[in-house]
Amino acid sequence: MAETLIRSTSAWCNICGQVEHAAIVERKGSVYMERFCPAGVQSEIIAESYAWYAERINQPHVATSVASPVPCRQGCPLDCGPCEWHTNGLRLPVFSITNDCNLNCPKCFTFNRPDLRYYKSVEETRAIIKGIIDASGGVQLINLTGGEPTLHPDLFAIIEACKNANIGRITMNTNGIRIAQDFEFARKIKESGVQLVFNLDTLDPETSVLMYGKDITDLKLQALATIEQLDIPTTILLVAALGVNEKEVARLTRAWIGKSFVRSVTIQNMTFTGKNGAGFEPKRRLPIDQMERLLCEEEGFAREDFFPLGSYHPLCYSVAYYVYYGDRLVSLANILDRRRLSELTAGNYLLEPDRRFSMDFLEGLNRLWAENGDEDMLMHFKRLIRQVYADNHDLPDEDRRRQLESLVKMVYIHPHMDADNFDLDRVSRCGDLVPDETGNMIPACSYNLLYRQKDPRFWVEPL
Amino acid sequence: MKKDESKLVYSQTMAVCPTCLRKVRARIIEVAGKVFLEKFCPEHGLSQALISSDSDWYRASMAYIKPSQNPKEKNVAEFVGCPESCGYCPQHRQHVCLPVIEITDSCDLSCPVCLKRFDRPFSLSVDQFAGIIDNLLHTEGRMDVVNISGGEPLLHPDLEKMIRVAKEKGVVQLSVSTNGLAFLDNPALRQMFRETRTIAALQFDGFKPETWKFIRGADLAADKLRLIELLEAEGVTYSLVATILKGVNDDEIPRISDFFFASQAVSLMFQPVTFSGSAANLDTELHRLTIPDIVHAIEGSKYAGKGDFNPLPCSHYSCFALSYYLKVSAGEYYSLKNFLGRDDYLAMIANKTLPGLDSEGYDMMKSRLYELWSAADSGTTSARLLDRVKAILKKLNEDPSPDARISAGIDNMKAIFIHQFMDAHTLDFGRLIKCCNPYPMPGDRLIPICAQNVFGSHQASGKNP
Ligand code: SF4
Ligand code: SF4
Ligand code: SF4
Ligand SMILES: [Zn+2]
Ligand SMILES: [Zn+2]
Repeated sequence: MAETLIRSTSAWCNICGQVEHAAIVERKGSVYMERFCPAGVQSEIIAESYAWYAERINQPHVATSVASPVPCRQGCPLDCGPCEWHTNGLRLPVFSITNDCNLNCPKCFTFNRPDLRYYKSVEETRAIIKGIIDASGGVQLINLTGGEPTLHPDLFAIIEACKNANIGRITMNTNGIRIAQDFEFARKIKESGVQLVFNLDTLDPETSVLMYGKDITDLKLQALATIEQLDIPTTILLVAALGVNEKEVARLTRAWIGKSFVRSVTIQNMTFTGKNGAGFEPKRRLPIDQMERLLCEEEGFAREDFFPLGSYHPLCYSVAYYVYYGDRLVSLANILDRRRLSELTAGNYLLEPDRRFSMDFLEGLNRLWAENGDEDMLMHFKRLIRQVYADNHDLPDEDRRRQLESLVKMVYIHPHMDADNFDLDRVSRCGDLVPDETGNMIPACSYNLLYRQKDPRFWVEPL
Repeated sequence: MKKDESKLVYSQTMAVCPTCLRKVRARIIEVAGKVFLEKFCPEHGLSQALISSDSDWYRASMAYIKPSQNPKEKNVAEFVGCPESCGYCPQHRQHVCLPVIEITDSCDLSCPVCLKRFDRPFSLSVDQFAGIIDNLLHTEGRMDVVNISGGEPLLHPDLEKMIRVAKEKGVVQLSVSTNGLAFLDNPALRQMFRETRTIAALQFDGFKPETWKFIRGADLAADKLRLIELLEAEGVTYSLVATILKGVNDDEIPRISDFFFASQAVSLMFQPVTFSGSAANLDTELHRLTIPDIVHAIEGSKYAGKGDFNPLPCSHYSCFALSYYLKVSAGEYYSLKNFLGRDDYLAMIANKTLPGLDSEGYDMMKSRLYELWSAADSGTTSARLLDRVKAILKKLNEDPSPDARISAGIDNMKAIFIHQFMDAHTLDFGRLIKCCNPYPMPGDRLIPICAQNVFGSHQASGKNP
């Protein structure tokens, strides 16, 4: 079979507990990572289209780091971190505030410990926040996760403890059950200023059983109604499992992105890791560009809209930004060059509404105008930019960011890695780090595969 | 957030720790326009080695990839790890282009730059040699070109028998890597080379006495020039092989190139010094140079032009670079890349490491020739060049045998190759798995040259089950 060796990487093998060389090869137009394990070569698809992959992989990336990385000792991924080998800074701190959960989803990629509930204390949270500021100077956002964070008895104290002038916003994952069942609780969420990351894999009762273990469609709908009613800024998080709900994920994205409470949509391609996720069936790999293609079968999304998130590995994130004009989705990639968008996100997670952005944006509008673009639409965008920038240059960045964010809809396609495709090229430039109380920060995929099970607060190895 | 502007990362890979030879995590990075292999050994920490002194060359080279060509058969049934499974194991991603058969460990020199350090004395028997050729034919189907090396192969008493055995079995072209000294007062040996049309691949490292003393331990310039005169006078086909060390003879690259074009040598091979074998004792910081250093230096010579060179996509793009020239008349050369156009040219050179016109190459030359004729501006191409190519094609039309094609190549083309071997500092498993230049071992194992030179008999000895 004709194949082309494209490049190399190194990959972690969970069976050998070793790192091995892995070849990246093209075969029949798709791209595979083939790990040279002595016990047998493991081949995994990483992109369905070589053309897509080639366009994104050809440039080296600029190494950045946190303030004081730890020395390398055993080698990646055993030194997290971030260690001196790591080449991204802290972009998105993510940490679990509990292992408690009111669901037991077959797709869950984490390790929870139902026999011993753990709730992070306010002191621990403060220590974590301090570590985040020390390492980064400040971040655009942090994400609280679990388990199910809404089950934390001191949730609002925890949220308060996270508030800091150098933290742009606090987001919190939720399955929405508590929000659906307790309106008063939801109202307090709204008051707290926290943004939600609401998980919505399906609204189909049968698919719900496959993803969540039972039919919770009504609860999901109720939660959405409450969030909408209270207008809580929200990211819709969809887990896409090939052969289960990949098409529905695309449809749901299209259906919900236009809602005014929805700030962004994150699609996580199913990874087969964690207590339940490791055994999830069907075990079919959904490469990042395949999800992008499926999404672009929906009206309003196009392949040219998507670009790699600056400073991350292109297999980790594919991102598109849209602005609404009437009920039309207009991609920012029509206004700014995609490469430029990628550059503007480098070093961050969200678009920074700084001068670079506004200038580029206006320039893009002028170019479109010269090219006979829709004049009403261009005027509309100019007005928007003026609203955000021109009248008040003294607006603190954060306010401007919020304004911009309420205008720009973001779509993130973000597959994690698991034991079968754990690529050190990807993990060593990860910016989604899990901070602990001692200042250590572990890339999310390393954490899920290797570190969480070693933290007795979250997990205990079955005897 | 701290931003270290000066460090770029291309990709991770696996390499070896230069201290303990353990297989370790590595990555390819760029700092200040140069590309390095950076490694981390849990015991010996971080280390770096230069792999390309020009990041523009390196980035452009990454596009030189093409589908692997698998051998018909693999000798090793089961992959048990790289390099322990050498070779070729089922995971190897290339076939054999140019096998290098070592027939002896004896040598009449002991060069400080030798990349061998034979850990077991040996002398290949004719039977073993024949077995190796049979095995190559078995795995590859056909084997047009074979190189014999050592040690000093001219010292092997059965060299002639081996050459004849190989020819009988269908090898079209043999070359013998040699320091050439044994030729000097052995007319019969030269005669044998001429008669079997074997290429003498002659070490030729420069002109300055200091160069020779440093590289070979003795000033051999006069001997080499005398030998070249003899070979040319007697019609022995030969090529030149220059080992280049930064700060020793890199300044001689243009002069070596000019000498090559003026000579009857069919090809010129530059080998940037590799710190294996005896050469492991040399100072890597002082002497390491890389393919783009050599390319840029050649571009300063009389006949070669900017942009003539490109990586060879058959082995890994970091292993080889080359350029071919058509001989129009003495002193007039035309870059084959310009003649054929980049795409056809790349297709034609894809799998060759000796100048030869195979049937595909022949078709391309032919169609290009017709194109040039029919083009309105054919006046821009030298009429002499067209006549020359027409003459070559005519001859090949009359006799299209592989033999005739290879002699057409030898008679009408000149090639400059740069082969950058790997040592313990630069070994990259991503390159190794695509090697097309193995040492065939007695028995049936094929071990990538660099695997054997770095791991020696410890791992890649061909002793694997
Ligand atoms: S993932 Fe990053 S922090 Fe962890 S060991 Fe690898 S390079 Fe270091
Ligand atoms: S170098 Fe090639 S033949 Fe040798 S073990 Fe590695 S893949 Fe197999
Ligand atoms: S011998 Fe070494 S440098 Fe040459 S092709 Fe093989 S691996 Fe590459
Ligand atoms: Zn070591
Ligand atoms: Zn080759």
